[in-house]
Amino acid sequence: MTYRPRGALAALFCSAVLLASVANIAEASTDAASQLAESGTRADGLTYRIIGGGASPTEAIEVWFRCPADGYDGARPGIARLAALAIAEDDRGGASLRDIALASGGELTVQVFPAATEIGIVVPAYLSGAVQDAMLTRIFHPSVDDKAVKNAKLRLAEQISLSGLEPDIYLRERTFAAIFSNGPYLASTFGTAATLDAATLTDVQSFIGEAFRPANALAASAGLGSMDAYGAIATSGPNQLQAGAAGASPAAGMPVPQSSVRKSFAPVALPVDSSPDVHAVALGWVGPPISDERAATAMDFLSDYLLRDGYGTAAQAIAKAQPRASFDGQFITLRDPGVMFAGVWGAGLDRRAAVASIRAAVQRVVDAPLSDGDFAQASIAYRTHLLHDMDGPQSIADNLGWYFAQGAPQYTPVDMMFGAGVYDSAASSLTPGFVHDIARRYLSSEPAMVTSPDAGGSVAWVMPSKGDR
Amino acid sequence: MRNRSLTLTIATCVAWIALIGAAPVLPPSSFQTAAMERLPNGTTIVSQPTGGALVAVEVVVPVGLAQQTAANAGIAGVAAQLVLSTPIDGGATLADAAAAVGATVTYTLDPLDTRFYLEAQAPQFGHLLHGLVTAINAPDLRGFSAARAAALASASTAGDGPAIAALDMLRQVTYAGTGYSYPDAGRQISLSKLTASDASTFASSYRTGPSTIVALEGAVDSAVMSTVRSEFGKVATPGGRVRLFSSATNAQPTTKAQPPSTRGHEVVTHRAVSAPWVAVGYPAPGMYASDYPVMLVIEALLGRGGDVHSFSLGSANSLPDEFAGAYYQFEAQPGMLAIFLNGSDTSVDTAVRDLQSAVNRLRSTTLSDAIVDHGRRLAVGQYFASVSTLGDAAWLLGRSAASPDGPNFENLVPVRIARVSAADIQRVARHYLTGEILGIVLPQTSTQQ
Repeated sequence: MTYRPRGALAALFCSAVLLASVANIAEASTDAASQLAESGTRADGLTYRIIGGGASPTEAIEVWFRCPADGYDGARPGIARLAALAIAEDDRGGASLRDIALASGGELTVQVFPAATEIGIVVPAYLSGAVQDAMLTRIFHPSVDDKAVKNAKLRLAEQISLSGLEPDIYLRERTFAAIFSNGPYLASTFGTAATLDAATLTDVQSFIGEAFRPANALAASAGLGSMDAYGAIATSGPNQLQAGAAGASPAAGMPVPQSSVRKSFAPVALPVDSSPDVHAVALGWVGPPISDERAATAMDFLSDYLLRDGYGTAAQAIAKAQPRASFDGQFITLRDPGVMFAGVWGAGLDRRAAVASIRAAVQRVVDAPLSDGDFAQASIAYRTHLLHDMDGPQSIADNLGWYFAQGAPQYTPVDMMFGAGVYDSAASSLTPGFVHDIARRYLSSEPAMVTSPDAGGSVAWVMPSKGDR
Repeated sequence: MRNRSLTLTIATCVAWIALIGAAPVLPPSSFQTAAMERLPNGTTIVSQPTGGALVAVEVVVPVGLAQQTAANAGIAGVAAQLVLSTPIDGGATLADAAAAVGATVTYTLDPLDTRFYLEAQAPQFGHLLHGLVTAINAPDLRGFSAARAAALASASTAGDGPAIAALDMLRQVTYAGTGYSYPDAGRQISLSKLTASDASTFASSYRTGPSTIVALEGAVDSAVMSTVRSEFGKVATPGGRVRLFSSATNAQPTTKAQPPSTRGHEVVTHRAVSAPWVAVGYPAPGMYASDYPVMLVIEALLGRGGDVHSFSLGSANSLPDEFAGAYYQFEAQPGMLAIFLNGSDTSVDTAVRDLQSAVNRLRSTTLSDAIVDHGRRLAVGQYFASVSTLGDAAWLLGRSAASPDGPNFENLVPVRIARVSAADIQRVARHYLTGEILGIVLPQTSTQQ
């Protein structure tokens, strides 16, 4: 599905942190509201996309990078998160990005996905120009030192600890590790205590130099302060970057290592659950790549129809059969391939029943197309849900960043807000027959399955062999 | 709690100011332009076209938690649920009809109001709005049994969490004699005796045309405005806005400045917690009072834990199990500032003493310019950050329309925060931050479980 920011996918891989700040408050004579839509690429290679307006008097300012969370050699799980946190802790002049956000009543967020990293701040709109400028300076002119790395390590250690308590994070990461046979999707974006302990200042600086380059990044900004944010991007950035700090090379970043996908998955024999302990189980189907826009959009539709919390047929079946269970599902649009994910967890969860509920719902869309009437109504709901999920500056900026990171910035659903764009066209082209074809193509096969506690062999997948791509 | 904000170094702020070189300026208008009109029947329509593809409307009817009594506590939620479960044109219920097309329809209970929120694409908006207005005016009582059963189930567990348990104790004392002293979810004893007729009578308070506020956000155009005028123009029942906090037979809470050493009530309960929880409550100005911006700065300095809706009960809201920091309920009259102290990392006594020390400093000391500036920046930022969605914006617009300043209230609040002085903080702290009430949640013993 279209990346559901801060909700499902984001909540899993990432963790949010905040900050805030700003200077004196005075009164100006101009109206702060702005209506702006700008996009382009600066001379230094930084791509930008600005969406002005909306109802929130805030501005979401985000910088997204295409980079592997485990390092370019795949040997440093957690390095992207550590590097992003270190930049957030860089307190040159006495104030870090985290301090700046905190002191302004704003919020700093570091989100790390297997193949993308984001550093973002939400601030009052009137501060957007100053904060945008500070973001670009700190990120592309990093001065990360031992102190910043030490502070970042402390934060990451806490996040590693907390992530282990979150079944949704566990299920998502394990599902990806089951589906992909190599590349950045294999390892946790948090890393481990051992990898964290082993990471050095040089490792962090090296990764920043390789990954956090303007030509490898998108500056996404949305909200009522976009005019000022755009001003900072358009005027101050190139001059700053000419100063030539380590991470500010105009050269493009290194490509994200390719990921291979396991071709098939063996069924898992789930145990009979009768204890009140917390159980968890997740299913993952390999979907189309983002380049197949119409198919990916059809999977978004199916994701909404099947898995949306409180609405989807599978989600409702779980809620009815096991009301104490937590459910999380969506199609995660990735460069190649996307993944349809459905996870369930909770105290006393009957995993067999949960999986049966999900499979039954999926089987219905595989067996037969929706009637014209049902499809028409579901299409309206799907569009409304998408629009609702982009109901604020942060979610808009997130969607801009996510699709940039997946190599298809033009495919972002954000343009659907204006009744235009590639995604809107793809959504408009869907028919019951096409959606049924996509369901049969991608949801008929045995999904990857992960479960906790492990059911005698935990993840059940067919070990990589010559059949893998 | 450690009142970290008061002990925060100001160096960071100074460094940041120095870093950017110039002070950001707060514009007189931070939101997009709003317009307000009044229908012949008195219904207020306030609109703020902010674009996008969704239309959002919040219908604020002038009856809420405070209008409940001991005999019917919980009826506000039951009546509101009846609206959502009313069929549209004899077909699906409003809630189901909205869900089928991905739209949102919810209710939220406030101290003085019940807010119904609808968000949909423009092509579906008119039909669903018609259903909502029809249901508000004539909720279908056939859903009563189910609504009451759900309320009973909710009431049986709503106070289990330590945060809500502590807050409920503060409200019992602060708002004694008013309907707002009862748990939002109601009481099982009163809910079990409710009848459909009771719910119908309560819901009839919704139908006071001159008291209803309709706030619109998003893709608001002339067609939407025409639809809204038409639907709400049909509401013919006259009457004044009944925003009384308490009935004539109930006592009105008062706020009187008291000496620093005065301590009010201590209320204790037990829950399944590993360490004691304490919430310390103080009276506070309501949202339309002149001291409201000052109290927002004080809240920021004491360490804000969440916004005014952190404990709001509604069809789409669940109560938090835990909460730490300051919570300012400014929608009640009077308002209440509650500081939640989670005793997991320190003793309760120490935490309370730390808080009292911070409060005494606010009362007795003229704060430095740097601290005041820090507090103002935080308060302004938190005010803006609390409006991130169409629903947030519709709420703020609706409450602005009800203010003496009209829709521009939402722009005036941050400007007024920016003008708060050290003397203002000291004066307001002296007036309000005294005679605290302690709600204490202690771990259950084996015999209490």
